[in-house]
Amino acid sequence: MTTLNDALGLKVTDAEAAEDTAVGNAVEVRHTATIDRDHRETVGEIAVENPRMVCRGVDVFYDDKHAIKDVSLDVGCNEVVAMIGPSGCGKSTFLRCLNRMNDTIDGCRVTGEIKIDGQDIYDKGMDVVPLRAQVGMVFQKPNPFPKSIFENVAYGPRIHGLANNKADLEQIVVTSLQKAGLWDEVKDRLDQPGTGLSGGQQQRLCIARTIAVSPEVILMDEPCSALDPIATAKVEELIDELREQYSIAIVTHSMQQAARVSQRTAYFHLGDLIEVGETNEIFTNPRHQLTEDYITGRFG
Amino acid sequence: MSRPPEEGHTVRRYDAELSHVSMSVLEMGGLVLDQTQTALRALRDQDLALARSVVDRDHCANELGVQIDEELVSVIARRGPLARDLRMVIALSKAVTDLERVGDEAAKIAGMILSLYGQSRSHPSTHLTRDIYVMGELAVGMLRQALEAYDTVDTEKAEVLAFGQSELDAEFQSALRRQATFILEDARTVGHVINTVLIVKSLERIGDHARNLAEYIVYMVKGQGVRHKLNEAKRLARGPQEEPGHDAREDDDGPA
Repeated sequence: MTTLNDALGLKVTDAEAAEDTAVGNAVEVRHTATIDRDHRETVGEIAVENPRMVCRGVDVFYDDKHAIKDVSLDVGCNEVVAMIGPSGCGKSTFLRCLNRMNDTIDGCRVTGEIKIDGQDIYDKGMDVVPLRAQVGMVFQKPNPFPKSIFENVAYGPRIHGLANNKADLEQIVVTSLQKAGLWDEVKDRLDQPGTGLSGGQQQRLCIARTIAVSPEVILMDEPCSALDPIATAKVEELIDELREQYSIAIVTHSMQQAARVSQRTAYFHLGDLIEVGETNEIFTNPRHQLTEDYITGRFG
Repeated sequence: MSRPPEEGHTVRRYDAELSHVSMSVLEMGGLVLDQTQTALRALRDQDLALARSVVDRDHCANELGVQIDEELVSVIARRGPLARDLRMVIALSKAVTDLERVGDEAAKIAGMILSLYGQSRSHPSTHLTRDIYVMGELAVGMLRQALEAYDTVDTEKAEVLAFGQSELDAEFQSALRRQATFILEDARTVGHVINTVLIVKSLERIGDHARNLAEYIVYMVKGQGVRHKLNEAKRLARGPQEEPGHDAREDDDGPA
């Protein structure tokens, strides 16, 4: 067949042709992102118009290790923010700062400012128990209590004193299970153990448990990585519905998942927040070279 | 891993697939460029066998186009390309369509040459066909530039081609005026003039396809907003009072 070189009348030596094939990147587009790899200040708009949580200049140390470096980011009302990045980039650490889950880790020190509705959550007078109801969390592995399905959801409202009587409590349990899309599947066996449910159902039970204490923000740390694709799809559909009432920050290793569920995406790299932007922008035309390397699968 | 990140994907097979498909697009470009040049040579030499060979070879580019489309679908399905990879896949997919059309236009030109010279009646005068040579050179030049810009990922060249003034368009307008005067002078030339006009129209289309290709290159490298920018520039150039005019690049007539 006639090749371009023939058609253009260019003479290509065998050596050159061999080199072309060996490199195999003749038309590879390189360095399309405009900001090079050494740049460490966050690219993109960290603030949103309608913030629920505001983080400014957050640093986290594990003893001497500087795990999060001067990260500023807002979590808006009714939005899903996805945090992506390679292992050890600090995305989970940052997520855990948002409801002070790092307090339980020895040697962990958090500096900077993290506010929810204008109130600093690291303030001396802040009680972490109501904070963790206000900012709920769903973990990678579903972790229902070894109790009945009903008790799993009722436990939170009961200890936080959210229900005045039994009828109230039942109403909260039912509503929470409905919101979590689990009601139809469990309504006939509320007294059976939560641990007897399938993995996907257990995860939705944990989400129902989180919702039951009327949070404003839900943090999700790889909520689907232990689930099969169908259960994952159900949780993702649920995330989309929950967005109407809550703010959601999700850490995920699946870029496709980040692309599917979030409105904004934040890319972390070695403790730095490299780039934040509209999810569409990040996945079609990222500005930072590191972001592009990561999402296109070019990290060595 | 020892390779620096810019060397390619962690999954090397992915690199190989993208590389193969982009080389195939180049090959297809070379093919349709050759078809166009051959058709024009057949006209110059009044070589009917050569013109026929262009018509006969049209299917090669189309088949290559189908093969490239299949490869692109496979890359999308299996690799889930993102960011620049995604833009590359989209750009290549669009490029294939334009290249196929170029091939179709070349075959049309060759067919027209067969009807210009293949019948017993008198051959057209050289005055009549002069426009074809002039426009042919311009169209081939544009296509060649587009393919070179693609080969070397030269966005500057691509931008000049995509957004610059088109000599070919101007030449096309004056060719139409000249051809009309030939009919006014001698109505018997009408058959030849029609064929000539169809050929220059095909050449004008080839130029448009070359500009589209250049536009895809800019999109591939720089991301979104290219087409929008172009339309905006056109709108500003036209000024506010004028209605948006007919633009040959916007209407996509299917392959003949």
